[in-house]
Amino acid sequence: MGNGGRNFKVGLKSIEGTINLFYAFINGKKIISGTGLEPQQWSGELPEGETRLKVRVTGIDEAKYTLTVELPGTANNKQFTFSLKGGYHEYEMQL
Amino acid sequence: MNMKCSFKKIKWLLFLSISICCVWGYGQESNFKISPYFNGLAILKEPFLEIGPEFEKDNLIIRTLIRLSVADKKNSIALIDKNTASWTSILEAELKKDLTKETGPIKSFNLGLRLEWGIEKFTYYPAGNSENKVETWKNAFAFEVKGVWYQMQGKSFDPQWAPQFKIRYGRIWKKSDETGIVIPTTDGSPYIVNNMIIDPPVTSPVLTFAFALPYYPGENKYSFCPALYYNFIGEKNSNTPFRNSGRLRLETWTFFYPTNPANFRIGVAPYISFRTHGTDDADGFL
Repeated sequence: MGNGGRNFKVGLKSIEGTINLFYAFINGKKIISGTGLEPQQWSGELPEGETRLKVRVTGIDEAKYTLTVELPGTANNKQFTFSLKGGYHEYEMQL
Repeated sequence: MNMKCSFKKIKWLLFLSISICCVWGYGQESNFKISPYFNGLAILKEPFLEIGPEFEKDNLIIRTLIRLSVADKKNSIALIDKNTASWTSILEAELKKDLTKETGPIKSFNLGLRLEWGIEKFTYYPAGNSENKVETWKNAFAFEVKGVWYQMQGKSFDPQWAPQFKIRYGRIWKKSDETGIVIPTTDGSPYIVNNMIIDPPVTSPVLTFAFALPYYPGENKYSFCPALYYNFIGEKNSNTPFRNSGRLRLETWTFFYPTNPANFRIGVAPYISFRTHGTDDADGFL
């Protein structure tokens, strides 16, 4: 991922309904690809400069999941709760 | 092979099977990391326990497992010692590839190959009395190929598809049915009937083709999965599965996904099963 020096941890977890698949990308590179049956997470260092995080989630109807973003020593931890729409949701943010 | 399917001979078996199956699967699985590429795997599928190492690197998984009967069902303990009457070794390879990118369709596939070889001890009494016991060890083996493809377009309300197939050939031994042995008495009291296995074990090769098409329409909390199975069942103690009988089975699954608990579904499947040719032991209402 590069020597950016910013530690980073992202987590995805199903909380309501049925989630089939979790995906997460950092600047287009896939870091999470896994089943929604269990929590998925990734930790590592972010590259220098602007970093884009994108998650894509598939499941059934309006299932819900949480996205947790941790930047130790850089920013406060953030947790988001999202609901799928028509079995799909995606979210993008700058880190 | 001549397949004759007479609707007059079809026995309509309409059976409503209600399965409450957590999407974790119907067994219990424990997977723990031993080293960067090796995991330890234990899968409990009553009445069997499968244990062994698993190698995982990139898209490839290779497992070498041993299957044992659960000796202590209450505590789910399996054991292997000089008294173990049956065990099966399993070699399994799985190729998993996810083709999903940051944009565009969501798609992935799994291909699996599985080889099983086992040995089991059988006991029978050909003379109909307990003094003349015969013990024999029989080899059983099975070969399986399976695949799953998953796809959706990556937008809300798009349908989700997961077509899958499995082809399995197995030649598994089983003990013969018990026969009632009448033991006459000399004092005028009623005869005694002793149930014993007097025939040696038998095997019938079975070749199964299975295809299923799980489908979620992209709205509501229901998904559907028609599944088709065809079994070729061979003559007893032969190797080829094509010379005895055939059975076709169609299942029409409907699943409901409640909001709570998470990742939980309830399925209902009316099905129909009928012989296409020959005879087998599966006739009757299941």
